Amino acid sequence: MIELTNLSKSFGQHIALQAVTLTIGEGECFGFIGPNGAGKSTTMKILAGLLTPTTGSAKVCGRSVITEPDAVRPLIGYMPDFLGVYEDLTVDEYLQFFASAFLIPRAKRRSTVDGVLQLVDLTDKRDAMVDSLSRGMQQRLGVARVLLHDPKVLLLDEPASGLDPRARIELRELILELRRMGKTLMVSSHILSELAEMTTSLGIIEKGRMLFAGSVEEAFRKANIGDRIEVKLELEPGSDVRGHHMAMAERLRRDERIAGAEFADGTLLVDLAATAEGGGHSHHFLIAAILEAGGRIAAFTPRSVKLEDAFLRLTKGALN
Amino acid sequence: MAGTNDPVPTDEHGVPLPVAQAADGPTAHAAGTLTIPEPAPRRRGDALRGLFLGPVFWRDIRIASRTRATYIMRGVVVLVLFCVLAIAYAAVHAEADSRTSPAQRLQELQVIAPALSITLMWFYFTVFPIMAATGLGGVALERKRGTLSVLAATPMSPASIVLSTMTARLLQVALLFGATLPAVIIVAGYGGMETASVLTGGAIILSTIVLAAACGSFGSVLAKTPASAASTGISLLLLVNFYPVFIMMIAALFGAGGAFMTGGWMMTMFMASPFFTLLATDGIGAGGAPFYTPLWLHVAVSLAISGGLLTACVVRWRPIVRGAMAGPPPKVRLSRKARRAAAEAEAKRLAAQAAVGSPSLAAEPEPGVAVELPAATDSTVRTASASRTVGDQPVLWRELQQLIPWKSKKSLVISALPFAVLGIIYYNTKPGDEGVVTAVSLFSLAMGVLACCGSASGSISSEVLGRTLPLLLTSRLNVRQILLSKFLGAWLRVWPLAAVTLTAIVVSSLFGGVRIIAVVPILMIFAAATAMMASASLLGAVLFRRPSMAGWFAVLCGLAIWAMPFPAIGIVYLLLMGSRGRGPMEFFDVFCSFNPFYLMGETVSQLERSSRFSVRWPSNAQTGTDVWILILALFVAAATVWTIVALRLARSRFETNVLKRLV
Ligand SMILES: Nc1ncnc2c1ncn2[C@@H]1O[C@H](COP(=O)(O)OP(=O)(O)OP(=O)(O)O)[C@@H](O)[C@H]1O
Ligand SMILES: [Mg+2]
Repeated sequence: MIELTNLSKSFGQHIALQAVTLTIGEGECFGFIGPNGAGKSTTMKILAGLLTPTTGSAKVCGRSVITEPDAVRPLIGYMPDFLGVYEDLTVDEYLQFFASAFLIPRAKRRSTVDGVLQLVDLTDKRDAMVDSLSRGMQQRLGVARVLLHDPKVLLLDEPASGLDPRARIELRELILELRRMGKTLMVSSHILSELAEMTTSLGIIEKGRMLFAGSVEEAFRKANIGDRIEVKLELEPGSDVRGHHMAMAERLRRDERIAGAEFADGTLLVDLAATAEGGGHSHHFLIAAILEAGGRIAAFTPRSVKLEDAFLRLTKGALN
Repeated sequence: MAGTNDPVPTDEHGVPLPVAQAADGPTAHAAGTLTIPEPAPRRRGDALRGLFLGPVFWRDIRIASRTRATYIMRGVVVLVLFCVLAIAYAAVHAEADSRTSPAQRLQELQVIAPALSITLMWFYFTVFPIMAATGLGGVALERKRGTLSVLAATPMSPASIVLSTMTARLLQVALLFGATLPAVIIVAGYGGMETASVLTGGAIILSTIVLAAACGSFGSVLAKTPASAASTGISLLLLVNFYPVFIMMIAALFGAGGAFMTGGWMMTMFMASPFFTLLATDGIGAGGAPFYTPLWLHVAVSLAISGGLLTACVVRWRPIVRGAMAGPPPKVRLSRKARRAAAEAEAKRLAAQAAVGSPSLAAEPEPGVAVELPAATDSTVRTASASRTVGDQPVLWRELQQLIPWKSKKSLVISALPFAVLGIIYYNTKPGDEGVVTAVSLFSLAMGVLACCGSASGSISSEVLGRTLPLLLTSRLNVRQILLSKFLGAWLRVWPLAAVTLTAIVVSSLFGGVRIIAVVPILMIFAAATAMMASASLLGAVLFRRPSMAGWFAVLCGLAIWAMPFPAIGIVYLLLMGSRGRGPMEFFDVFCSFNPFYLMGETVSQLERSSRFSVRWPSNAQTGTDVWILILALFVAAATVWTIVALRLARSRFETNVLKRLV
């Protein structure tokens, strides 16, 4: 559906995108992650036809964004990272306005607008002035606008920014719903845990370079992340807490199944290495190893792996 | 890393902000600990510097120095100045063309120097105050940019914000003056002016610039949109300059006589008007000046008015900002039917309440108990009674929505006003008087041209500021359609003014004044001139970021188009002067009439049935009907060509200029 080949974009001296190559298949939900200024919005703007790349090509449904913009526009729904509002229009007029701009015939406009309003649950705000809506409602209005012309591909630039937790969950439901409708989505965000629950694949970009693109599982495997376990040792009162934990960490690090161990905030943080197949080791060996080393376990708390960790791992190496 | 749009630059300029000192202060960098820096000892003059050269001043100066438009603007102003000087030069030559002996030449040189100086003075007097009154950004622009809340949350005082913005603008004007210095030197080379006149003129111009900046500040603080900020400032400036004329006109309408017009208090009224003061002292108008004001008194009055306006800005700043942050007031557009329905529902609700609850509870709600919950939730969201149906040309539809007068009472009153004025005029004059037609058609042309100047550029830049343009551009409308819609919107919006003219012509022709056929050429001129302005304004909006810049560009384009033939004609004339007698002079006259205002007046003169009435357009004696038709055709053709070229240019520059600004 979306094909980027060697896409580069520079603003004067500054290189915002550097030879980005990426393929997103039909029906996929692609999560686009990267720190501020990584080039996420730039990529989306190129796909939306608002920017021309310096070199490389970008195709949507096999049509080039650069040479056939008129053919691509009906296929794409682009929601920028800000909502443009006309303060003199009501919600209904705003949607009609864009429906008309997308050349939806007059007879079908009414039902189209009703449909998208229902989908984003704004029906009762139909006659409210657009600029008086709350941020979350405006965001939903933005999604409604993007859906008007029933595009195959949706480019959502940070749709969750500025939303409260509940609105985020609603947005996630909405995106899952869109996925069920068979749309291809590209969603950028800074918040990874959110993306993890709705995306099928993931792209990590930093300083204009694509560090990783692939499925979510692949991302974990590539980051070589196993579980992280917090261990607290039971010690005699008055003994050297730090020294004991540090010594234990020192011993544990020799085991090749353990990727790292360190002492922080009164607990021992142990990172298990991933197995060759990409799975995790069972935790029992760690308990055994601690006991063997003469430690008594006061608390043993496995922490679930976070996409954040994968993200940090993947981007750490690339920085240098 | 200082963001380019950082609203509060806090660095090497000794800006008196605590944050700025944290970066430079010697105590700030204890490793890993946060030390609140000691405030720097206050020196004398700090307070004043903070007021006039506050952070906002430095921000505006930097933004101005970074934008290309600033330099283009200066170049254009210098160019226009030289055009104007060339015209003045040619005009004096034309007057003196019969003198050929050396002695007469010398005499001519003596005439040229003062003529050039006076032209220069009036140029400064027109351009600089308008420059100072526009481009002040103000509350509306900060709000559109989203920086208003940031600005309001800083400890900067409103006085510092208002005054620093103004000083930044004044510095821009000073730099502009610097750019025009070569012209001053040339004029001085021709002999210049007496020192006393230069000092007098300079004092009047300077105080007017300050007054203009104060007017602009007033507009920028009070206006709701950046475009209306500029027009409010300009209108205020015009009012301050020409109020005596308005008062006289109103007095004349109600039949006041000559004794009243030349009475003592009427004359003292002129004193605050910079325009009439300069007219009275410029050496040409001085002889015929109706009054004399001591210079110091005039300057004092100007500065006092400026002070008053600025105080109003400072005092109103916080309430206005608070209002702007709260969003526009709940503006409920209700049709009469909907209002009646609402009233009925309310009555029913009250009746139900009275029937069910105890009356005492309904009358005195307990404190702290929200009685009208539904109403409270409704008031947070502004609603319209019903949404309208959008047409097939959405952009044009939106532009024209703002035109329909019966949507709100206010616009209905405004659109009825011209007709009411027309009624008063007819009550006091003979209905067939073609002088009324001249006045009305000139007035509506001027208003139309001014409105077109602002509206096309304003609507593009509000799409940019409101960030709706990317949405439009990713829709299936193409750039050509969007620009054309914006152009048509701006152009069609001024047509109600033409309706006023039309009424005046029809009434006049019914009473035997102007021939009804005058409708055709007058509407043609109106259409051509406004289309030209609207397209120039649109092109300005594509080339420049700031709405006020775009409006200015349109004005200068208009002036340039009308003035363009002059230097060329002047040169041709100079070349032919000796050999061909008055021939080229006629040519010159013809080209002088190559502007819509002249044409409008000329048209009425040409098409009046008789010349029974005293008010007459000063028709050029040499211009026959054939020449008038030729000029009319030429003007309409030129305006059409310009409109097409400007729209094409706007289209082709759009990608490079506007898209770059968006992303
Ligand atoms: N119009 C522009 N002119 C110059 N540089 C630009 C422009 N737009 C973007 N950049 C630069 O390109 C880089 C990528 O910007 P982009 O907006 O794509 O980042 P992003 O990943 O969307 O960041 P964020 O998470 O903050 O939205 C940045 O370094 C930015 O400074
Ligand atoms: Mg972004």
